[in-house]
Amino acid sequence: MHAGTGFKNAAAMAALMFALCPAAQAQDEGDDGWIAGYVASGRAPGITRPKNQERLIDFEILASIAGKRARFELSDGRERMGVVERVEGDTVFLRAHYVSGFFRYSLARRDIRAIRLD
Amino acid sequence: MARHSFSRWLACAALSCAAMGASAQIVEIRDPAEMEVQLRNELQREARGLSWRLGTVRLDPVPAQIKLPAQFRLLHRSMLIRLARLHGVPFDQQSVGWVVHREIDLGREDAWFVQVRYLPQDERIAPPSHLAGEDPSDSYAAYVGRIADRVLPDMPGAARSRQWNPATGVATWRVAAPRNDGTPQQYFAARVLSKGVLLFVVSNLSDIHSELAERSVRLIAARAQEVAPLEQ
Repeated sequence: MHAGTGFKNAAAMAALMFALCPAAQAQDEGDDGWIAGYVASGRAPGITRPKNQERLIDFEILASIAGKRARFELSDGRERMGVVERVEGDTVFLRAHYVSGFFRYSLARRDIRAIRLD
Repeated sequence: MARHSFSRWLACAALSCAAMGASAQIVEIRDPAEMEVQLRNELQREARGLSWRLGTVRLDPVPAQIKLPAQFRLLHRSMLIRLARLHGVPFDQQSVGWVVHREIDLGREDAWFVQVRYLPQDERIAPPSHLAGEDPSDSYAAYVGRIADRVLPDMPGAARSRQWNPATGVATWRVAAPRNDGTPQQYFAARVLSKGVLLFVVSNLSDIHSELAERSVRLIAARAQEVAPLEQ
């Protein structure tokens, strides 16, 4: 017997079960549609918007955009960019890349002049 | 001046040098903001010109294929060596590829993706069984726990929210971060094959997007199926 015959039969059965099973199809379509909607709504992180769609945001809403990247203009004129991890009081905790992964740091609200979401 | 966790950054620098086997013992300390820009540029460079696979893709030498949803595409493991390091996710013999939404820019630090991994097994994990008339949820949860313990031997019993869908043949669970420091949970889906487990993982999405992570791993796992291995 051909070594792949068992696999072929199993795969065909699995495909047939999937095709015939309304519950499997419904979940698949539900997940597919939900993800498409979530991404289209702009809530998902990791999406680059055109430069003219960058927007200024307030410190107060930082917690609600956790997981997204933000650009911070500081009072001393420098700029930092990182992924918002969490906010505790007047401090925002960020994650930024480093040579072999990432590192975390925090910024105090009083040191931030403007925050942009790109 | 902004307060950076500078000591932590220094420790990271030293550890990174050690991990990379750097022969130089002197760690050049630069402005973290400058480092950020440099590394962001590196990530953007690395994410350019990637070769994507669309539609139904075989995962050879893994005996499986994925019928990718139209909004997703696959990046083969050969493209991941540096990207995985820059995104801080594992890359090893078990890495098969990443499934990435078409809108996601891998040149960004907040990019998310489904890691596909294959873990060969000596014997197939026995499917759940329960007596007729019994509530199957306990046996389902136990089955998912067995799969999770097999593929995550360093974290026995860590699987939470265990779900088994007999219609799709997909097991899902999540694992909480070991420390409460903002590190996101890891979201898993698995499909048991004849000689291994195909694992789907999202590990870099903030918990605020947990539903996105759960649905993504479940969707991609449901689209995977075992195929005959290529003949030698």
